[in-house]
Amino acid sequence: MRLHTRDLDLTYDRDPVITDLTVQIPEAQITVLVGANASGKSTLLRGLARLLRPTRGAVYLDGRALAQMNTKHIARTMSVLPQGPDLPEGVTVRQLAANGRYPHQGLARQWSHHDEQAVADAMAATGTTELADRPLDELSGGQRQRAWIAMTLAQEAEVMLLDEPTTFLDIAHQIDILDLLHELNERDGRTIVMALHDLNQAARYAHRILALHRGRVAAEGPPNQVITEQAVRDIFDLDVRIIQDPTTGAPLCIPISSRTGTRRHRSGPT
Amino acid sequence: MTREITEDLRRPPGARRWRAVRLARPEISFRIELHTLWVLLAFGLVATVALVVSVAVGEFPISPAEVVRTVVGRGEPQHAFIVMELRLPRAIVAFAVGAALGAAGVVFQGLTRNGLAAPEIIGVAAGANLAAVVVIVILPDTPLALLPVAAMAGALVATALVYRLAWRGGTSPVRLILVGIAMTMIGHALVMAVVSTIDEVIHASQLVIFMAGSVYGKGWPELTALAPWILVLLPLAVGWARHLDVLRLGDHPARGLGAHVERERFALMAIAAGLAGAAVAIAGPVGFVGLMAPHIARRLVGAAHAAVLPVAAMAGGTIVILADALARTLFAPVEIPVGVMTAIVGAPFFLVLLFRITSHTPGP
Repeated sequence: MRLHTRDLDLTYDRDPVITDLTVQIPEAQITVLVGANASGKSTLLRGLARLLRPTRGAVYLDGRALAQMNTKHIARTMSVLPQGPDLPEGVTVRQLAANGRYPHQGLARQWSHHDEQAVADAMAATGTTELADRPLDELSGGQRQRAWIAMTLAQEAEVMLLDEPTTFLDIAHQIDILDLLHELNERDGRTIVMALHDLNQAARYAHRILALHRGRVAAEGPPNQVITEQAVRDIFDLDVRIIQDPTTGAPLCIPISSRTGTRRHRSGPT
Repeated sequence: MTREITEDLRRPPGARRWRAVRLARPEISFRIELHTLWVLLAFGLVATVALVVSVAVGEFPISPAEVVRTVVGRGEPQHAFIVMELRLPRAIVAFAVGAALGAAGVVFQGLTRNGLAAPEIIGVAAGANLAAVVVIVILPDTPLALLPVAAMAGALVATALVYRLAWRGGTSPVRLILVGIAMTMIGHALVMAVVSTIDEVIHASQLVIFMAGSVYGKGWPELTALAPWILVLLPLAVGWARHLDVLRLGDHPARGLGAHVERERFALMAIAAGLAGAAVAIAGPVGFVGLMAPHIARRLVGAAHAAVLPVAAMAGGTIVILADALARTLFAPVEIPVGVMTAIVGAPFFLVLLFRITSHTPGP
């Protein structure tokens, strides 16, 4: 285990979002954070990534509190893809990917052999080599997301944090991105932590699910233990049937109806 | 010591050629696009031609060939004073002012991630101008060399103000511009107020410098006061370009990459305010150069700041030389301030950018 938190409080705009959280992120596994909107999964991810300073407690990387570590040093071990990053105008895929080398570079060492190799590898892994010299603003949402992931890959950090890497992508691109992350975990043993909205994707790709509810861990464990009809009702306030995914064996949620939503809609005047 | 230069062989068609230059010990490595070198070389040529033409034209025309002969010391003796003491230093001051404003514009546009940002637009030039005018009026004996320092302080204060009021928290691009315009108007009003307190009638050309920006009467002393700042701050900006490349991605991605966002942003802000302040101290608020030059540079060499900065400096310098040559000759013997010339070209440029940017982002 490389990343863990102890007694962590995170506050966003003065509202406590995460309270008293102690979790351990298993090494070389995919951990997926799930939870309703405002459950605190994005906030937790930001806290893990040192984008948000804890109001109490700490996040530890390899046994040391992040606040006590050099931020460039952290960046060589842990990369982060924030949610919906902005679109820098005119920047090409290659330039964006090359920014991933930033924590490894200095005034004199700006473009070593290793930098070059890492950027080439990152673009190859994300299938963006052909797009290398295209500016981001000419690309589709899926291609852009791949370019951003190429940047975090070029960072060559063993721990990767991603906040909803599939938002705004169509279903095929969503699966593309998730397959890529799965492969990075399988092949290189990278530790991946990501927030996902879709429970079924979470169940399919996660080794371990961390379900958050109002800033606390509601359930934690392998998908088939966490994704249960009871847990989904508690966490999402939604009735579901759970069946087995015929292709992977992972639990698959079929929403029945919301206790207050769908039925009323159906019976109400249209 | 091993030294090597590699070229990217996996280059897809249409991509730009680049070279990596690497030393093993001490470990030094950087990459440079050949295209950028060519653009810089071409701009150097254009700037030189502009310089010669600018020195040649005027009330007393001198042929370009004679200008070159005079500069190398083989011209007619009666040309020496006009070329070496009047026109050449003035043209070089014009270049330096434009170069400083162009480079400052690149940094401000990168930091704010706003293509409309420029020292003259966001109020930084107005702050520098106000500080310079206050010093000139209250302490008229201040040595010329200290004037840039005062203007830089004014530029820094204005930068800090506009940062607090408009830019922190990633507000809309238009809000930054509106706050900047308000600050510019306040700055202008205060300059007027300060100038009107003086008893003696000050020379009209001096007033023009304060209000519109001009290089009238500038020579070697002004260049000596301005050049060291550019020679220090411009390389510093290029050296920090990789921080600017990362800050442009936004605060969160930059932090994730290990940038000390506040520290690096402050340093870059200080560099840009310094460049703008030094230029304004000498020539007053020459408008729109810091806006146009970065766009021209990005169009030519792409988005990497290490390449954009020197090219924008070249572009800014060339713009001001040409604008000044026009300003001197268009209505000769009446001379219009160079700031008026740059505004005539720059304001429509600004409007086009404004419409383009506001058409695909929500309003203020």
